[in-house]
Formats: sequence, structure tokens, C-alpha cells
Amino acid sequence: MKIRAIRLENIRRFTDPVEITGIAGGLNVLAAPNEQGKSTIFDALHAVFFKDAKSWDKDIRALAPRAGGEPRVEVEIERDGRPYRLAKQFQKASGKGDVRIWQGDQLYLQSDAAEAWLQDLIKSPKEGGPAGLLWVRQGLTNFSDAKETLAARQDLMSSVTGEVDTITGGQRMDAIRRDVRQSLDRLVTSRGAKKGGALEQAMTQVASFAAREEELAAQVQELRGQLDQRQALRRQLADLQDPETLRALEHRLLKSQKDLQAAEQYQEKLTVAEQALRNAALVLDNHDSALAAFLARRKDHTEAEQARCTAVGQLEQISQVLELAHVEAEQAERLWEAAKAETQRAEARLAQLQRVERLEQAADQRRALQQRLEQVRAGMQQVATLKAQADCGPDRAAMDKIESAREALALATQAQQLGAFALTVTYETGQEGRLTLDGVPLAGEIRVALPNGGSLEAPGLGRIDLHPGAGADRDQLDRAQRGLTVALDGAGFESIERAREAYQAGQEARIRLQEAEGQLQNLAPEGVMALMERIDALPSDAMPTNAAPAPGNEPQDLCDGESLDQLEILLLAQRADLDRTTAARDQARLVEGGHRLALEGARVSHQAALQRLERAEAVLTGQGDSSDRLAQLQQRQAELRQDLAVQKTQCLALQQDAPDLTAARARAVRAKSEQAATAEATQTHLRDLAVLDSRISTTAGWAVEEELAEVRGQLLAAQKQLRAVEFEVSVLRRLDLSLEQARSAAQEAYVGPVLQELQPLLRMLWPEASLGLDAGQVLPDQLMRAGREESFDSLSGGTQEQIALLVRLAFARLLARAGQPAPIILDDAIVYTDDARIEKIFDALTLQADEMQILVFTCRQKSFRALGGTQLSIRSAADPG
Amino acid sequence: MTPFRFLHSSDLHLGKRFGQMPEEVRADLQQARQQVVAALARLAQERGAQHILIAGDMFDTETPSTRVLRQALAAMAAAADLQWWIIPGNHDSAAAETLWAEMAAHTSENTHLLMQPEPVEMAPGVHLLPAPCLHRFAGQDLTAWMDGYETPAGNLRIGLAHGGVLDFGSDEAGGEVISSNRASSARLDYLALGDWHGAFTLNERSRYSGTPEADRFKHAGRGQCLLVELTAAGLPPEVTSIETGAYHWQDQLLQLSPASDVAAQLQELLPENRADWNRHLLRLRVEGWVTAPQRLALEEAITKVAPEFCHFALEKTELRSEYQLSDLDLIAPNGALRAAAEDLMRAAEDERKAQSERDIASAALNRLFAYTQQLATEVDA
Repeated sequence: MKIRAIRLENIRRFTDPVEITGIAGGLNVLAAPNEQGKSTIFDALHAVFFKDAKSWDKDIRALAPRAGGEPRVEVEIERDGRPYRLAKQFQKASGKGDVRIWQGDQLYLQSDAAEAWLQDLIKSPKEGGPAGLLWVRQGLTNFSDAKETLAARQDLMSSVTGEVDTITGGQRMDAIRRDVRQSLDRLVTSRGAKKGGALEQAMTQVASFAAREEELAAQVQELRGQLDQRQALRRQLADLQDPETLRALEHRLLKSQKDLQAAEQYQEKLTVAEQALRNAALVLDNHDSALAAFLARRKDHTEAEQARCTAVGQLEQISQVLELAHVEAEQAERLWEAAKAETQRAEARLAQLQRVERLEQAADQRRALQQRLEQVRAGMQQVATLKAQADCGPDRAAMDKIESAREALALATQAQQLGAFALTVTYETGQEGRLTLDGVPLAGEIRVALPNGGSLEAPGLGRIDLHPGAGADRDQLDRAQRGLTVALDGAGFESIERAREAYQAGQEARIRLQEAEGQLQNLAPEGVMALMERIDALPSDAMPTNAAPAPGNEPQDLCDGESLDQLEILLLAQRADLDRTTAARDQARLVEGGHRLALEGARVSHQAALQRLERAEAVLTGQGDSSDRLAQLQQRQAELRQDLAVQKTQCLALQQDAPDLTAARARAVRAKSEQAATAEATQTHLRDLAVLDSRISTTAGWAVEEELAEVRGQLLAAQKQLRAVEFEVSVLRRLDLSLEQARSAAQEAYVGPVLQELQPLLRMLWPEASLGLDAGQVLPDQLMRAGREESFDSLSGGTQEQIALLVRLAFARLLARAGQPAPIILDDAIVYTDDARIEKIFDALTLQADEMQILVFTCRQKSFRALGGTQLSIRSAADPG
Repeated sequence: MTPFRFLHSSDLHLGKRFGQMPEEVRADLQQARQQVVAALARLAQERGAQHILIAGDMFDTETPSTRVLRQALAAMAAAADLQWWIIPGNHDSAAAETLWAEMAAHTSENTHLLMQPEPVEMAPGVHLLPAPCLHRFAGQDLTAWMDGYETPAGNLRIGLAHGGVLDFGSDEAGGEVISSNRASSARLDYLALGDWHGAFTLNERSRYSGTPEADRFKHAGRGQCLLVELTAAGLPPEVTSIETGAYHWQDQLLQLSPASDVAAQLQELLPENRADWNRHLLRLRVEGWVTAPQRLALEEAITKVAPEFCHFALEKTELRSEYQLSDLDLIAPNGALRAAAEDLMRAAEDERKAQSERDIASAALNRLFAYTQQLATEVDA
């Protein structure tokens, strides 16, 4: 689309129609001082394309002249090479505005259809695209107030911001999303319902009411159950207490008792009859027994007679056999006795021979023993002598004592001599031994101690008496002397030499004694008496022995020269014969004994048979004639049998008509227990009813059913509320999702492409520079140049407006590439840019104008002269020029 | 003969707790319900009726609280010049032994509990033939015995029963068997019926009084009772319906279309006397199709008036939104907001989606609309 002409009427200061015509396809410049209506023209253009003709909002009202009047805007455009003329008439009266479109001179569209055509015209090729982006004014210089200008300057991107807002939803989107999020935050968190939030409260309420409802429902059910139970109990109780039932029960009891009584009486009668029957049977039975006994006795007598005869026969037969056996036995006895005598004789002879031999052996042994006894007796004599000799000397202790005393005396003597007066004589040669001491010649050159003094005689010279003086110690010597004397006296010796001799003799005697004793021990280890006893024990000729033959059996016929061996062989033969005859005799005796026993048995049997026969005869004799007796008994038996048959018939008749006593008893018991059970059930029911009454009364007083109905209502309301809150959460989430997705889509659709379009434009001003766009707002947020990153806010006003212009151009290029080129209108877009930089801006604009229509409104007439392009002017429509 | 005059009422449902209602409303409704006995007594005294017939369901449950029961008995005892004739209904059937034992234990002389289908001469020459509900579900026509009961010629015969009638239907399923011809077949001068909570004339001599204090939106208006006057046996009764209820229940249907003036239509439905709204319970069922601005307008209009009502229940599940491009333009002519709105509109109108999903999308779109309009208003302001 390209704009070719614009006409305004009743637009602010232009109450009279004005127009701008001759608008070229490329770059157009409307340079005019401020207050000439440039912005008014811009607003009017905006109203044509973006405001419904029927609207009368603040924007439209702002277009109307102060003096009154209804704004009218006409625009000539070219679309797809065809010219169109649009006229939009705004009217204050609601819904009266109008819009018309002509193609050439033909009215093409009007009203809503025309509005729709216009919408389509400005519609972005992409959904939600930057329609109208290029129609938003940038105007910053319209503010008369410096403060406002400053504020506007600080927000130099506001126009772009507004346009981008449209893309991204902008601040409105933010506000809505913020509100949606806050609302959601009040209800939910990422983990579920927010604590204390409406959703959680609703959930809690539902849970609480549901729990209470369940509890109450259970109580109500229990109450209902109790009520039903009580009703059932009452019905049962009524049944139990029903007079008819009770009467029937009583009647049943009485009748059963009466029936029982009658049955018992009948039973008694029957019992008597049965007893009579039993008695009759017993009598008959007894009689039958008597008859049988009689018959048995008769039979017994016959049998006893037969037994006696048999016993007599046997007795005779056995007697004969016994006689023969006796003869045989006597013969065997004789043979045995002969064999026995022979054997005894042989034995006697053998014994005699053996005794002689034993006696000889004993005599030898005695002689040896007696010889040893004599040796023993001599040894014993020697021992006694030696013992006496050994006992004569002192024993070892006495001897030791004597020796000790002697040594003590020697020591004392030696000590005295050492301390006593002593003399040593030295003889002249030839004079030796002339001197005598106490009569004993005194040897020369020998020191002689004189403890007791002495008398020294020198022949030819006289005698010299020597006195020991008081210096010698005599006491010790005396004590030793006394000790020795005592020891010797104690042992019974007068001198030590005698003592020693005696001790020595004793010692030798002891040694010989030991030898003699050893010898004695060998000869008679068990003593002399034992030896003597052994000698006495030996057999002698005068002494009888065990083997001595019995008196009368003396081996008188013992022949010399018959050897012991021969006798022994003979004896063996005799003994064998004896054994044989012994066996024969014993056998004969046994046979005879057996026959004797048999005879005794036969005699006993005969005796018994005789006794039995006597008894049987005695019994039968007491009963008279047995045949008569038998007839009597048999007649009586027939009578008794008839009597029993009569009794049996009577009894059977009674039994057949007898009532069932057991059944009658059972009925009576049952009737009684039924009555008791009824009474007990009545009591139980009454008790249960009382319990139930109490429970029901308690529960019913709580009005549980009322409360249940109430809680159910509350539960429904709470569930409804919960559903509403849940729905609200869903709605908010859905809305949030849609908003999020829409914004993301817008950002995705425009951020990249815009940057791509922007980059070449940017390089025209700052080679090597690049621009960063805030992904959220699709707005420049930093400029990278000369290796530095500068935030957009820190840039100068001029740089900011230049970037804003370039961003806008980039959007325009984006639209043009999408096949829907739209005019770009710059209303005082470049205010702060210095002349040096503006040249580059102009270059950029000129370059872009090759592809799109650009309308530049500016108050900087002089500066913009260099921009070139088609110069536009505002003229009165009435002005034909 | 002096005309015999009495009040016919039923279905007091004392003790009903209105659990679904908001807390403060429940308290009001319970209080009003409890006072209905005194209101009936007052009305009878004003209208010169000496007898009040309660045709069942005096209590809401078989186990009312002692407080509810005793207060009702006290109110009846207080009107000593009146005679109360009460039969058990299906809600408080004679099977509720505890309830009726408690009643019998504390009832005053002027209160007659008719627990058996046995006639009683309530005044000289006036015979009351009661048909008490012996069980919650009768399963048979309890009034059948009335046909065979004879009274002296010229005496009045009044039937008292609770339950639905044939070809009529009951508020409660299962009690549908009272013969609609009973008044005629039993030669009754009047058959006082209970169970139906709204007043209903079955025929000239057979009527449902309805509840004296309404309790549901099904039967619109206030509760009422019937003043019945019998002049002579065989003559038709003179029946006057008298409002007794403190609260007015109303169920209104508001049908809207995209062309509707929502606020104006709503206004037309609201009760005239605004000062009385606090005694009104209004259920507004909104149906039809509306645009987003209409929906917004409706919600705003309701927000203005709802708090003045005792209870205002808005049901708009049947209200569908119709979206127009112009509505979407009001949200945003283009850009991301527009894209979001169109996304939601598509989802709301997508018949392949589940209704719940469409409803959510629709509501989300309405919310977006409301947000944008609110923002626009703020900007304008």
C-alpha cells in the first residue's frame, strides 16, 4: 500500500479542509515549523486506519476542533497498483459514523464492509504481527513543557516500545499475566494447593464434611439398625406374650403331663403281666432242669456200672504183668551184687598198694625235716650266745658319750699343760736321765709341764719340790675328769680301754649274730614251730589214711608181686561190668515200678468205680421207682408249658396296645422346656429392649439425622465450591498458558528476523557494531561497538533515537519482505541527532526508500533539506494551486 | 349449623438445617422454620379457627433434636385455645417410636397425636379420619379404610393424610398411592393432604396445603396454609390460601442472546420491592448465548444486586459464550494478546475437544476480556 494524498476536515485546527497531495512512492519530506499540524495529520491518518467510524472515544474526540464539528479524513491510496479513495466521517452521535471506499469514481465499499477492507489492509501477514507499527508517531517535540520533553527523551524508545507492545502484548500482557499469576499463586503452588489458600480451604472443607458425613451416616445407620432391632424385638416379645400363644403353651404342657401319667399307669400293668410271664417261664425252666437231672442220674448209674467192670478187668491184667517183671528184677539184682563185690575187691587191693607207697615217701621226708630241725636248734643256741656277747659291751650311744668325755678331758689337760709351769732339762753330755721327776727319769730337751707340781730329784744333788702355784686352772680339768668318770660308770667300765675293748667285742658279736640269724632264716623261714608241725603232719605207719580200706575189706589176699598198673586195668574192667549190671538192674526195677504203679492206678480206678456206682445207686434208690418218677415229671412239664403259653398271649395283647411312654415323656419334657424357654426369652427380650431403649434415646437426642442432612448439604455446597475453585485454577492456568505461548510465539517470530534486518542498517552508522535485543520486550537493550557493550539506557539521546529509527526501519523491511509493504511515517523522529550523524541517517533512509514509501515529518527544515526526496506541503483543499 | 373453620397445614419439616446454604442464611432459615408453629397459631387465632390440622411431616427427620421438638410442643401448648391434630408423615413416620414417644410424653392437652387410622370426633358432629404414615414407605393407600367408615347423617367428615396421589407424583418417591377420588369415595367434606411442599388443589374437596415456610426453589413464593370453612355436610368447602412464610423463594430463568440487553433483562426479573430483597432467596438460571461484553455486563450487574438478597444463587452452566471478532478486537486488534484470545476462542469452539476443556477455554477467554476491559477503563480513568 502507498499513500498518495491526504485530506482533513474538522480536524483540530483544520476546521476548513486541507490536503497533502502528490505523495511519492519513495521518500517524502514534510518540513514545517512546529504547530503547523504535522502531528494532526499523523493522528488523522492513524484514525482512518485504526479507529472504527462509529467510535467516538477519547482519541476521536481529541481530533475534533475545539469549536465543534465532526472530523472527516480522506486518504487516497494505491493498492496492488489500483487507486482507492477512503473517506471516514466520525460522528458524535453513537453509531452514526460512516466510512466509504471508492475505486476510481465508483463507490467500492461502505460501512462495516469498508471497515473490514481497511482491517485487511493493515493486517500483518503474520498472525499478531506488528500491524500499525509504522503508524505510531514518535513525536517527542510536541511537548511544550521541558520536563515532559525530558521525560520523553529518557524514554526515547517509547514509540518503538508501543509498537512492540502490540506484538508482545506489552504492558497489558504483563499486567494481565501478573494478575493471573498472583491469582494462581494465591490458590496453588508447584506442589499442589497453597496452604491457607481458597483451594486448600475448599479441599479441607470437603474432606472435613465428607469425614463428618461418613461418621454421621454410620451413626444414623447404627441408630436405624437399633430401631429396626427394637422393632423386631418388640414384635418377638409381642409374639411371646401373646395370650393365645401362652394358653396354647399351657394346654400343651397339661396334656403332655396327663398323657405321660396314663402311659406310666399302663406301663405298670404291663410290667406286672411281663413279670408273671417271666415267672411261668422260670417254673417251666426249673422243671425242665429237674427232669434233665433225673435223666442224667439214670445215665450216670449205667455208666458207673460199666466203669466198675472195666476196672476189674484192668486190675487182673496188670497183676499178671507185674509178677513177670518182679522175677526179672530180682535176677538183675543178683547179677549186679556180684559185679559190685568184684569191683570192691579190686578197689581195696589198689588202695592198699597206694597206701604203702605213700608211707614210704613220708618217712623220707620226715628224716630230712628232723635233720633240719636239729640244725635250727643249734643255730638258735648260737644266736643266743652271740646276743649275750653283743649285749656285754657298751652300745653305740654310750661309747660315743665316753669318747666325747675323753676328748673333753684331753682338751682340758692340754689347756692346763699349756698354761702350767713347765721345765725343760738340758743335760750335759753323759748326764742324760740323771734327773728324775716324781721318780721317773726326765728326758732332756723336752718341755715338761708340771701343772700339779712335782718332785725333781737330782742324784747326788738332792730333791727339788716343784709347786704349781695358784696360776693353774684345775677346775676345767677336774670337770672333764669327772665327766669321763661318769660316762665310764654309766657304761659300767672302769677304764676307757676296757670300754673300748668291750665295745669292739660287742660289735663283732653283732656281726656274727646277723649271719647266724640269716642262716636260721634259711633253714626255718616259718619258724621252728612250723617246721615241727610239718614233721608231725607227715603220715606214719601207725596213723590211718583216707585211702585206708574199710574194715572188713582188708586186702587180705594182697599178693606180693601184683603191680599197681595191673590192678588198675583189672579195676577198670570190673567197673565196666558193674555199670552194665547196674543199668540192667535199674531197668528191671523201673519196669517193675511202672507195673506196680499201673496196678495201683487200676486199683484206684476200680475203687472209684465202685464208689461211683454206690453213689448212683444211692441216688436212684431215694427216688423210688425211676420209671414212675419219669412219667410224673413229664406230665408236669406239659402242664407248665400250657400255663406259659396262656401268660404269653396275655402279655402280648397288653404290649400291642401299650402307649409310647418314651414319646410321652419327651413330649412332656419338651412342653415344659418350651414354657421355660418362652419365659426366659421374654426376660431376655425385655432386658435387650431396655438396653436398646437407652441407646436409642441417647443417640436420637443428638439429632444425628438432622445433622447428617445438614452435613450432606454442607458437603454438596463445599464440593460445589471446590469445583468452582478448581475450575478457577484451570481457567487461570489455561489463560496463563495461552498468554505465555502467544508471547513466546511473537518473540520467536520477530526477534530473530528483526535483528537480521537491523544489522545492515546499523552498520551504516557504526561499522562493526551490533545490537542486542531484549528477548522479552523485543527492544534494543544494548549496543556493542568498538569491542564494548553499552546498555541502551546509557546511550545518548541522539544515539537512542537513531537506534529507534533503525529498529523501526527494520520492522518496515520485515513487512515489505512479507509482501505487504506499508508506508513508514516518521514524525519528528530525529531531534537530537547532530548534523554529522544525520547524514548517515539520511543515507539509510534514502536507501530504504527504494523499497518502501517513507513520509518524514520534521520541524528541522534546514537540516532535512539535505535529505532530498519529494517535498510535501499542507494546503487548503479549496486552494486550486 | 355453625360453620366449622380450621387451618390446614403440612410439611413443617421442623429441624431442617439447609446444609447447602451459606452459614448466615442457614441460621435465618432455621430460625424462620422454627417459628412457623407460632405463626400458624397466631393466624388461626386471627381468623377464628379453633383447629389446626397438620397433614404429616411436622419434623424433617425421625430423630429431631430435643430442642426442636420441645420448642414446637411449647408453641402448641402456648396456644391453649387451639386444638392441634397431627399425623406422622413419611419423614416422621409412626415407626419413629422415639420421636412419638417423646412427643406423647411432653404434649399438652390441646395436641392430639393421631398414630392409628382410627376416627376421632374433633368437635360435636365433626369426624376426623386420619391416615397416619405407619412407616417411611407406606406401600399402600392408607386412606382406603375411610370409604367404609360410617358417620351419622349430617355430620362433617374430614380426612387427614400424607402422601402422593395417583397420576400426580410426590415430592418423595414411593408414597404415590392415595386415590385421587378418595374424598368422593369416602364421602369426605374435605381431605387435608400433605407431602407436596407447594399448595395444590387436587379437586374441590381435596387439597395440599403446601409447607407454611418454603424450603426449596421448586415451589416458588412464600409458604402458605389453607383456611378451610365447612358450612354443612355435603356442601363444598370454602378454602382460602394465606401466606405464612417469612422467606420468599424464587427460581428465575434468564434467557439471553447476543442481542440481549443483559442488565435490563436482569432488572425485569428482580422483585419490585427492593427493601424486601433481604427476605428473598433467588435462584437465577441464566441460559443462552452471550458475547464476552454481555457476560461481563451480566456479572457486573449481578455483583451490584446479589448482596442485597438473603441468598442469590447464580447458575450459568447453560450460559454459552459466543465470540465475535469485534470482541476480540476489544481485547487487542493484533499482537500477542490477540493471538492468545484467538487461541482460546478456537479451543472454546473446537467441537473435537471435551466440553470441560472448551468450558475452561471459554472462561479463560472471558477472563482475558474482563482483564483487558478493566485495563482500558483504568486507562480511561
